[in-house]
Amino acid sequence: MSIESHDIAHDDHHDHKPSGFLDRWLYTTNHKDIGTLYLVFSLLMFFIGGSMAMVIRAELFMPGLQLVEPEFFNQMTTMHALIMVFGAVMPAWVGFANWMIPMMIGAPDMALPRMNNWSFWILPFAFTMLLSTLFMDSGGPAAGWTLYPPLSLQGGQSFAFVVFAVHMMGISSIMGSINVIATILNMRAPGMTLLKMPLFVWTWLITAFLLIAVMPVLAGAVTMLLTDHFFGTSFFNAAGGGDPVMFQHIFWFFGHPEVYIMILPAFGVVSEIIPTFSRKPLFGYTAMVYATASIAFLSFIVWAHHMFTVGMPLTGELFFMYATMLIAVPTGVKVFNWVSTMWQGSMTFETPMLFAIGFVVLFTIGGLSGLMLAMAAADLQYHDTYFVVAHFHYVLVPGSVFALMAGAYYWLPKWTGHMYSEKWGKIHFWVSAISVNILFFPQHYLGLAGMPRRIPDYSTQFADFNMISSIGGFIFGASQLIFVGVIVHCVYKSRQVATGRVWEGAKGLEWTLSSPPPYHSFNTPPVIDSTTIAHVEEAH
Amino acid sequence: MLKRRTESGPMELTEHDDIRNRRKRAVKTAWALAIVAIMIFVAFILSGVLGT
Repeated sequence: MSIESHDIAHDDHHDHKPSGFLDRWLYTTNHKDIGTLYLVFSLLMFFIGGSMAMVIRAELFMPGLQLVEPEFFNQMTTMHALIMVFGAVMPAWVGFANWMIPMMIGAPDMALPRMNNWSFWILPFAFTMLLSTLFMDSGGPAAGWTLYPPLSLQGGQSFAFVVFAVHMMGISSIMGSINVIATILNMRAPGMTLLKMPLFVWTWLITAFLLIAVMPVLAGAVTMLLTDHFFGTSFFNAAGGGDPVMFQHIFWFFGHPEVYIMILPAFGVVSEIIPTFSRKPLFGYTAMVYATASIAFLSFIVWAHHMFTVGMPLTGELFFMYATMLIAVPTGVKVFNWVSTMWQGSMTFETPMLFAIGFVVLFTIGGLSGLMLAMAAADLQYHDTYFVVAHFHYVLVPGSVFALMAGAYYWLPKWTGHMYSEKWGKIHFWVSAISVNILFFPQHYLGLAGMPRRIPDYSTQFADFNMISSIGGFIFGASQLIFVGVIVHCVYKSRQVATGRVWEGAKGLEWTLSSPPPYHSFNTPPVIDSTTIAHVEEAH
Repeated sequence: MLKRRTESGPMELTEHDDIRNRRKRAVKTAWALAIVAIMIFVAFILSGVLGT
């Protein structure tokens, strides 16, 4: 059966789309609508968090205090991180999961559609509450996203709002993850075995298990902070017999897997895009699955590399150092497989492919600086400097965010039924790719020279690189408006109609549906064969 | 039950593949995962209670 003939077979022309605005968006249980809600919400949060980054870079444009008070600067760094991690990147990936997983595995919807609605609609309330702290007398959280006590406990009454907001974000994430796992394990079309699933589905399955394992840990940690702050307990208060270092252990037991929660779905998206535009099957599909699982496992046993300067026994340092370095092995397998997929492929460079290649190159830079930080002896020098800031921003911005952009451009024609402007997509990529390096690369040098992170002022020796970094930041921030323009144009103005299988080399069940897909798809399970499986070796 | 032709021959859809049964199994999976999440939350709070 050819791919095109599936288009008709799976189209349900009786869409039964709710007509009223509230019915459609507030009460929706449709995975595509909820996916759209997540994606729009995360884009909004991306700009709110981004505007805070602009405040930070504006203050750091030159030495001295010029724009904001130091206390407000600390609130900006803290809120920027909380919003980008929990409001932008994570919900964006849940949006992708909602849109794509049912279509990729041949399911009619997510397994628990009402809980899906609830998972999303918790989020706007959580972030309204978090952002409202900026307007309270005691201000927003200012102790960094790590919320280390005793500093975090020195804030005012607004801290309760922060804790409750984190709880709600956590509940949302856990419900979303339960839904993803229940869907993947139970709703796959007959014949879609686990090792026939697209890699994006695999990476999300593993991510969902990570989320269920670590979000309750964060919830436990902030609950203990809450009772220490308001109810007189001493979990982390040394004066009362508590241990502030215990918070760091608990936080990073959550925090390190959290990093992989943000990057594993990115691996999945890139593993879908590179084969499509190389017109070759993914090199080493099974190895990719095992590498993802290995990274997830290792993420649980490396947390204390964030705490080398706290002090720990030498055996502990050695264990966490070598365990951290071990992550480079499965990650290296992935990078090798992406490059091998491209090798001798009939490559073309549409916008999704440009972002995917940008991801591979720039994420690898972030990975290598991570290896430098893994060395306990060297970390004593790098810790709490701008080198760390440069490292994790390389992993998260040209890493996770570029993969989000790649995925958005890749599936936008499928979602909307219209082609986006390739010209403006490429302009968006090139301006972003150049400016993101101007923004973050100089921060490596600042860190190596000893500039500490989370400060509003600095010694004049750091002035030049800070100015360069800020200019890159302003360009990168402004260039994201192009992305919004491309989306708005694609949704409302584009006259170029997208076909079912948008890209010549695309494989997988989602491409057997029309563009846009019917409101209810795969009510009849699709037949799984070599034309519909995303990653399958070509017959020779 | 419905029979369908696939590349590896005809495949019969069983009761196991019925959408209602699959949704029932999904609800069971969800409850099991929710209990695990609650247990992890309680365990980490207890680690703080017992550790101090």
